[in-house]
Amino acid sequence: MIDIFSAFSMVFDFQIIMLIFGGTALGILVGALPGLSATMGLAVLLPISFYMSPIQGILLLLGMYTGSNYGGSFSAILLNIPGAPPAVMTALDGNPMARKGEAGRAIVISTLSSFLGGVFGVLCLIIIAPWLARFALDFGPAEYALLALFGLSTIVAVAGKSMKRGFIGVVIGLMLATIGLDQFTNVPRFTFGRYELMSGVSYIPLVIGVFGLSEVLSQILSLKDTHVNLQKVGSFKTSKSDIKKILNRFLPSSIIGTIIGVLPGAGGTIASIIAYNQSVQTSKHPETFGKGEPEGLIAAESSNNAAVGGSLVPLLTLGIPGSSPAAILLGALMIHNLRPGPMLFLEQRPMVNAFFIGLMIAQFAMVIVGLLAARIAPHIISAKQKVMMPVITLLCIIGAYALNSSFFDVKLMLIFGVVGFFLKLLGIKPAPIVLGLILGPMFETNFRSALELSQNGYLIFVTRPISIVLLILIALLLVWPFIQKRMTEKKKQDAVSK
Amino acid sequence: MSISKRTKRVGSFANYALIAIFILVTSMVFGAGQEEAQGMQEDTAAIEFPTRPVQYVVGWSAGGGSDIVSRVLCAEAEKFLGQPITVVNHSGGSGARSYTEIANAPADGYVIGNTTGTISTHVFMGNLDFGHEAFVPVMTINSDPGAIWVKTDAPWETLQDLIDDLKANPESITIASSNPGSITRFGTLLLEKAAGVKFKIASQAGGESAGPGLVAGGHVDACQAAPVTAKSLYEAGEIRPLGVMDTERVAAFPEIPTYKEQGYDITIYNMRQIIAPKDTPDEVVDILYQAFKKAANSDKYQNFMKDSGSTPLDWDPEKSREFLIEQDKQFKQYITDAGLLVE
Repeated sequence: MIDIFSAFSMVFDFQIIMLIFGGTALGILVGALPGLSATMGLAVLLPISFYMSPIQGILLLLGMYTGSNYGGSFSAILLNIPGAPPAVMTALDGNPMARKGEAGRAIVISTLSSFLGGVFGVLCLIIIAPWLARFALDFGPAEYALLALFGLSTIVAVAGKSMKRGFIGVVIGLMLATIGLDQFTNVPRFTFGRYELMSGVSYIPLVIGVFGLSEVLSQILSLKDTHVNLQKVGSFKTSKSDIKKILNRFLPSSIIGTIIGVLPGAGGTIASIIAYNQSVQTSKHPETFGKGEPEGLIAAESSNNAAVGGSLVPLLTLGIPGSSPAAILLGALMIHNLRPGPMLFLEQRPMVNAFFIGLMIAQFAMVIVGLLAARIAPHIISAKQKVMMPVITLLCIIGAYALNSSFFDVKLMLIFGVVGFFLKLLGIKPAPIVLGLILGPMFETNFRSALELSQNGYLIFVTRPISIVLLILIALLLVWPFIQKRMTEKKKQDAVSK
Repeated sequence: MSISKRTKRVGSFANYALIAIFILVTSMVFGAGQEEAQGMQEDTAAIEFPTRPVQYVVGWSAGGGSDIVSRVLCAEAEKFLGQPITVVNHSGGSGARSYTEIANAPADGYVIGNTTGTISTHVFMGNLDFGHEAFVPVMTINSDPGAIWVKTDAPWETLQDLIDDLKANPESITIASSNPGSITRFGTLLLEKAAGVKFKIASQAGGESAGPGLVAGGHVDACQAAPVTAKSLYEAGEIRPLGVMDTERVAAFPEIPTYKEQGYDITIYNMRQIIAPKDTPDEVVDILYQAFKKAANSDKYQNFMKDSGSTPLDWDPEKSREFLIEQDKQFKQYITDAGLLVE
């Protein structure tokens, strides 16, 4: 009990609260700008945090981490450019809502879902962290490979009307994923002798290209079609039914987000892919997803923010950083003489509690800053198109450059933009391509790692409890749409015969 | 009427806001580049160094081992250098990209960066056509020796127990290691050779960082990883070490015996050096070395190294060069043995 009080007294200090708010607001900006990632934001703040007290420094970074994960939703909704990879799924329904003139409503829904998801993740972190950490260790390469396969199967949910086109998109992504040094033999694959390609195609130029630039190209070609661009900013008032929807739907997505977040190497992007799919599968009206369905937005945002709390579980309890932002937090903790692990909880309990309280405050900071921004940000899309398009193009270029300070990435982005534009004309959407590129390497490396472990025995994929659960889920996922179709047909027939 | 007027005003506000954001971001991203361009015009004959910020290129992504070590060190060193040191991450090809950039940068000390052991592997495996001779080492900053880890409740108490078990039951023990040609893998192969045993080696993507988690989760029997990588799970009581491949015990873990103590004379390290392009004037290298030396001996850096389980060093340019020459010889031999040499 005394621990809790001393933790509160540590956090409730004007300066610290301001640092959390500042970190969160800065994080939202970093997240919203395409190409600037949570990792970069944290890396830049890291040296600054050296000069602060441990509590100030770490809470500033936690604020930045929280904010940047959420900030990506702004550019995803308003511009259809996911500012950060976890926001890819946010764009699917968020942007169509904005196009319908509901940008304000979309941002409010996304903000409230993020808040609830974030709070859920932090609560899980506080209550069941040690138990969840063991779960992360039980996940071996075989399980990760199946998780990636599970993610790829969600194409069923993302493909939209045409499954065929969805598959083509995923395969393009998977093909891009084969570029780079082979992780097991160091043999260069499709690198054309360029060292820039040795570490593979990173998904930032791809996301910016196929979402951002290709969008600009199609807008330019339909310049006369002004009703798309001169849209209403939309009301910020959220109806009671929206709130009800959020409360009804955020929980399953938050649970998925937390669990996936706990797994090192999975993170918010994959969490949102799987949660989105779950939301489509359990919805009574799956056909509305991808066309501005608030439930899709709720699933994407609550899950990727829940993953923040989740990713801190293995970091704080075992010292395993589950993501690159978490790796920077690990460095920051160590610089302040705080060694993550079970001992941290025993020796530095007040400090750990203070982090938890600070993380909770960051969620509130996120919702406050987010709702304020929701009043101003939508006006961006009411700006004149002749101003908008060049600015977005330049943001695309800068975003691609900022990733590695490399013009090679800019060229890649431009190529992806043009190719993405033509693919869009053919009805192939950008999301499946990005999905393929993110999940492809995860599947390949873990699949091969698993085979290395079993000395090429495929039984490793079916002889472990978690694998079996995942396999059943994959099977259900692929078969379910057919069963559903059959059932609705039967119902129709019954209705007709009656 | 008032509504439309308001929308219009908000619209133009949005225009300005967009332009402002754009200018802000552009200046952030391109700022460093402009400084570089201005400085180029200065006369480099007079050694007045540094007169502008120094760029430090990390060839690995933000948050990785090289990145964190570099950021801690640079934050200290800039106090002694009198100019800011800007750390940038130009990651790609296990350092191949940053090596190429630093080698081709003007040799004036304003673009420096760091190496890992890969400076002595890329060139022999055909990924790059130059090695450490394209640079001048400024300082060796730290060393991470290899070590072998098993699950806490594993039956082996010493390295010898493990070897004896392997001798009795060949290929019965699975060890997680990195890909052939990596420093981690060399350590495993050296042990096999010295002890005359064969492990079941499971190559893991993500190199040695994946190993400790796999051991803790019971997916493999053992792994090779530097103490800095395995430290957290070790302190969490999930895994324990059987030996470290260093000449003497690691300061941060005095309880871990060396291989040598246990009768296997094997040493392997992953060392990091700060490097500058090869024609950088000696005076400039010395100014950099003095600043980084002071930084390396600061309490902050020493404590950070101790906490992370790594060994801090401050070897001067000469000693660093000697080490690199030795490392080249050693790694070339291993790569040849593994059948991966590309001439």
